[in-house]
Amino acid sequence: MSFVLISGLRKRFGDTVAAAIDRLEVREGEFLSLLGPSGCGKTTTLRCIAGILEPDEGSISIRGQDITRVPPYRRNLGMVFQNYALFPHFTIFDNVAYGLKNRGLKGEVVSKKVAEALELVELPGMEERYPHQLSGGQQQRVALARAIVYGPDVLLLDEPLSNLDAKLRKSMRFELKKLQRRLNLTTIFVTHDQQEALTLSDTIVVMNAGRVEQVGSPTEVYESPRTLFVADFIGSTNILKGVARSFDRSSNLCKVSIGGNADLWACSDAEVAQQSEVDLIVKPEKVRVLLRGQKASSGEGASVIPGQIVNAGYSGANYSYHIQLACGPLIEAVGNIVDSTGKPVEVAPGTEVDVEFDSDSLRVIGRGRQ
Amino acid sequence: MSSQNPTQAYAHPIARPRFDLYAILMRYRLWFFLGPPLLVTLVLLVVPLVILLQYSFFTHVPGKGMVFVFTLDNYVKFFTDTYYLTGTLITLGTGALISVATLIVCYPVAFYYARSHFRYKGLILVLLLAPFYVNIIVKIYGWMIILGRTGMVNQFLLAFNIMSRPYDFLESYIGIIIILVHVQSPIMVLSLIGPLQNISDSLIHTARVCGARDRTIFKDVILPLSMPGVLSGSMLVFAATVAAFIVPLVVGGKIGFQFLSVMVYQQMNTIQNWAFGAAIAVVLLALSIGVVTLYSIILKASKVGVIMSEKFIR
Repeated sequence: MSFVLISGLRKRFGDTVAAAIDRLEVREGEFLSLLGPSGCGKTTTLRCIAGILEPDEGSISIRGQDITRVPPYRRNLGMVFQNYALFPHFTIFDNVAYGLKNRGLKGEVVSKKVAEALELVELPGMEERYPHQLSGGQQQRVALARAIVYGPDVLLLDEPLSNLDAKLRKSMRFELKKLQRRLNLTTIFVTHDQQEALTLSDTIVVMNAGRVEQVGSPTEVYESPRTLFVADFIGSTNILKGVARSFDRSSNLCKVSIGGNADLWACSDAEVAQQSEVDLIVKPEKVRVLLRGQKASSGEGASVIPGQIVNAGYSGANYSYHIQLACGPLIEAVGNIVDSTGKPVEVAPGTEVDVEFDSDSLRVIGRGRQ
Repeated sequence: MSSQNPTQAYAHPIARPRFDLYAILMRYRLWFFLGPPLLVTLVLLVVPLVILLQYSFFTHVPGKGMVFVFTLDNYVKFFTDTYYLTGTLITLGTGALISVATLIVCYPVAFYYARSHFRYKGLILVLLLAPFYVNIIVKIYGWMIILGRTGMVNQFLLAFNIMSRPYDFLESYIGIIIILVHVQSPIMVLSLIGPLQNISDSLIHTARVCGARDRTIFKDVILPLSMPGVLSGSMLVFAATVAAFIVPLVVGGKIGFQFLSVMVYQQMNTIQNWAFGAAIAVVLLALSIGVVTLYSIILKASKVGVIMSEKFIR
């Protein structure tokens, strides 16, 4: 049974529909991310769940109870904002204790719970300080402690890591995940950072223009994007335009012509009509680049297309190549070109290469599906 | 990266003039910028005050006017006569009363202004500041239409038999209170709007998600964080009220003459006792500065001081 269930949710601001979610389920203990560019409706959705915004239509339920019209102070949720939102005039103790005091708890119980929560976020003994005496990372931990101290049903996180510097953000990610696992907290996390969403989530909900584009595990949305938007938004993706030539029902493989006499075999979720225009997507790291004349590494289902290196950029662990395919499109590949002994070699722009695509890494997305 | 000698960049065919106005201005920029206001303050405020202070120690001889003989009599007279001491209490008490009353009237207005997302907010501000644009005499005459013997309020009270005779608001303390609150409200509203606007929405949202109801949020978050505005507003209103002179003179009736500012005017203009008038003025100034200073010292030492400390500005 779903722990949090959103159905038919609509929120409009004037004429624009900020969020339109037909159905979204969150399981108990799940870490779910709402991922999308700014203005995609992820924050609006979160605020509707929190009760800060009231949806125009639809319902939200937690543990099977409809909370759509329940005021926020009776929803028992925890929330962390991007700008920490600590009460500046309260000590850390008073900040963390705030939710407990609003629940009528007093004295020993409060101080014990606050100490426990601060212990959990690894800030013990900070009770008497004021927020402005703490660093950004510490403030965010306090905000987290304040949100979890009273045992909320759902933890709502509104881009909580965006204000931290890059290094801190990475370490906070793991701590957040550790904490969430330990408390088995159902968590809804809003972010525009795909890396964050991929590392933290059990489930990612990719949103665009108020709507859900795809719901799936991090591997699903990364490796098998269902729409062009998802493909483009998560990781960099090569998009090749082509025309479907034939479709093999037994293997779900589709033969696509991408111009010239270059045909590629690609997998597809649904049947593709012959002669229909399609988009092919492939992640740069799934594109194999071989020096001209080298033998293709795998035969089955792989297609080889000649091309020429336009640019090779070194990024430490590997190279990022821009390759002009002989049949027209320019694609990006990430990896290393190796010589016959398997050692990485440097290649100059202009080098002739063969580009190899596996049929499982190429996916067909129909035009109609956008 | 072509030039080897960086100083060459400054070489110019036209030699710099020997008299470089800009260089001189930059060199003495502190005096250049601060000088004019300092001069104005010195000539128009400090010098007259020093003269006033000096006057307050001179002797008044009836019929002859002020004689330049040092005396403490003026101050002794002020602090030994219950009339003047009562006047002091009335003046300071009214200052405190107006501060509180203006705060009560203005807080909701400033709150709704600061927290609303109304599109024509600018227009509301223009209206809120309206008392500023009108001369104080005009304001008083405006109130006369409403509060006078034949004014709207009295006609209403008589028509509904709430009172048998018209009440002369404009010869009473009530009149002073009503008009002073009106006069001081823009200062208070302006002082309150800033801190109220600075309270981030996410603080209020957080409090709400943490389980606080609206009343609790107001008590725990909004009121404490707006305290800087409350304090500065009430201090400004207090200082301005204590120094107010036209309102108690024109609408105060008998009690109006008990205000120190009016007493100064009376002594100097009617009785022609400049020395004693100067002494009252000095006492008034000292009290006003003293009260405001004491107020801010006490508050900064209390818990509110945490909010007002500079580090709080995020």
